[in-house]
Amino acid sequence: MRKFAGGKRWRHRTLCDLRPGERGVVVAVRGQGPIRRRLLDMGMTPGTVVQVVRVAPLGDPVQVTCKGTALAIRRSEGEQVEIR
Amino acid sequence: MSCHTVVAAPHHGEGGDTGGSSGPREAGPVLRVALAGNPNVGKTSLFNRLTGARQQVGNWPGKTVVRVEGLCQAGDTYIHVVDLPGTYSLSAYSMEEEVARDYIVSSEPDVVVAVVDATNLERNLYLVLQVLELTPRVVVALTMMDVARSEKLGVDVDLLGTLLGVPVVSVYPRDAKSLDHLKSVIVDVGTGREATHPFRVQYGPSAGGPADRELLEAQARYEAVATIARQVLHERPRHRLTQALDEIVLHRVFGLPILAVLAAALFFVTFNVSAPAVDLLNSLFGFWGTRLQAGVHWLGLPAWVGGFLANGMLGGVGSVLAFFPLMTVFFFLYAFLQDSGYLARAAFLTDRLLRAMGLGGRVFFSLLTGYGCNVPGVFATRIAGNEREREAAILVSPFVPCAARLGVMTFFTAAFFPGTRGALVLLGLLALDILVIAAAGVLLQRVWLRGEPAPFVLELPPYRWPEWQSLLTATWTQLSAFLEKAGTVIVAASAAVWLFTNIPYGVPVEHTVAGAVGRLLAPAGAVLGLNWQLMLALLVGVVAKETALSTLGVIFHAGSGAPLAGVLTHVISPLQAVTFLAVYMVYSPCVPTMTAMRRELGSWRWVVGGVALTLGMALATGLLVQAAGRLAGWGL
Repeated sequence: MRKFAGGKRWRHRTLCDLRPGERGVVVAVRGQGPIRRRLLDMGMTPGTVVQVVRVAPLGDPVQVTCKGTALAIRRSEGEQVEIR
Repeated sequence: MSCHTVVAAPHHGEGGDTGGSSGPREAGPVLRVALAGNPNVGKTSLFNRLTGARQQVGNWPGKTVVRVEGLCQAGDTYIHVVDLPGTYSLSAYSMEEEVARDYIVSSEPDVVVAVVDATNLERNLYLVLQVLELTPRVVVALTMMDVARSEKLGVDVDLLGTLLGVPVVSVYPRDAKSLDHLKSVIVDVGTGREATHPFRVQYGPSAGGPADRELLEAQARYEAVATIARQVLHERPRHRLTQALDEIVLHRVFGLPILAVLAAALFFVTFNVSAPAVDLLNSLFGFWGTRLQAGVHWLGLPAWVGGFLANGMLGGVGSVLAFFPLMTVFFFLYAFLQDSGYLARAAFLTDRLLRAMGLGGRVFFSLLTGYGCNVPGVFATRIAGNEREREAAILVSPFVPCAARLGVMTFFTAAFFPGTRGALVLLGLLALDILVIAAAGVLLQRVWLRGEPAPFVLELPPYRWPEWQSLLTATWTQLSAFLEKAGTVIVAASAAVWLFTNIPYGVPVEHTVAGAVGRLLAPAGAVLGLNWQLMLALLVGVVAKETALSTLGVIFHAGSGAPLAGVLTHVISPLQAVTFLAVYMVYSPCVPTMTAMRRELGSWRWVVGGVALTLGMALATGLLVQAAGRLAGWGL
């Protein structure tokens, strides 16, 4: 699913668009280098179901469940994970 | 079966492994074994059980990653065990991953033991598959089987072994037999008595560049993991207790207040539990000091010899040891919070705040360690996400008031502000200190250390009841960092300070070398409204923070017999006292911390810069407090 992000740009929904309790399926991991590799190594591979559990009291990071483990991910990194 | 530890020189330069050369004196084959595994799976605890409580801690050559090794015995075979850093992957993107991968590839250990948390198979097997790609001689040690059982997770251990093609052994922490079994399997695989047929992930052809390759590999491995996990696991782990606790502990509204209460409790318990032991040590050293002086007098030696031995040397040893109970309790409680899984939550809760300070959530671990002692606090910055974050973390670590400073600050505030006002002033100063850390962090980020922020993907492990042995080992590791760095320096320094304040012997302090140096500092002190005695105490405190108080003791109360607190309130105004504490809290790392910073930052230039930063911040803080005090109508 894509959503209108203002102007003429469409962008994919990302992990950060999920509200607490919502699930999504990973479509792709954007970016490059250590951050992408780390996300992939932690199991954010295409086809994986991820769930946002909660948001930290100050709004960032978010807690997600992926492959049975709880992970804390910053929004800046969560935005690299495209979700359907 | 006996187990003991290798004692060898620290590793310098050579990438190899010294198990053979530094190992056992008796004859017998030595198997070299590496422990690999994710963080939080009980790998270190298994290592402790295999090799005994004492271990040899060093650094990986050229790296700031801790290398721990030990020795144990299975029959007449010695097993030299290296505890590789805990990693989720071996893709060599972080320093820890690089170290672990390089060791397996180039040092070719006889056996790699992959430690796997039975309640978290899906994540853990990813690393196991990577290990199997590097070496066929692998033994999987399944930990947390007791937890898995209590959560009613059926794990088919035999089938897991068949699918992976390597032996899988369940290890129970309180069961020596399971350890013996693990050791015998290690020996069988290491000597080739038991052949392995490691599972290999089949990768399809890569469509494009390295980025595609990464994706392909990760995906193929996780698919293989899912296939294996589906067959051996009868149910998915739920971690109900962890989820319920997190509902409370990570609550949007209550999460941060709970953290604040826990932090307050940590300090309250530390100071109260250790107080009787500290008092006992102080009175013991006082008693033996008097005895020593009497003995020296009886021998007919000059009085200054007795003074030097009792107040200089013995007093120095005493001031090192007086912090021992305090730091023991603090680091024990810290280890408890760490091992239970709470500290990862604290990093989650504070990441946003720390990022505003130019740091990151992981730095929470090192900052909190610094409240015990800055020396292990500097070493604890190794947890930081990347070099930039680590450098910032090291440079702000001296701003954290250590147990020694907290002790002096408690003494001062209690003397000048009786009752609850004292506690409020202390809390105010500690809050001010957090602002100082923030200001320093932002300054470093803007001016000194620009660059990519570190990635922050942190596992929030299931809560666990920590094991005693792990807690004790962790406590000892921190204490020994303090002892090694601080112990000798403080004893030598307190002897030097004694000479400094007693040459020429028998005259009042203002006529000694120290008095002369103090008067040199007087103009600098005048800016802050601090007299030369307080400036001298600050100067001496650079050696070791607690000596600031004993210096004031020497200056003001030598021989008078009146309690120091009473004397101080007569010669120093409350505003002077608070200004002094604000400066004292922030200024200059102590000498042992400087050497730790030098070791971690790699050059003295950085340390000089760091010290200059603390001095500048201390001046600013002192002026601020003084101005605020004047506004509030306090006279100097």
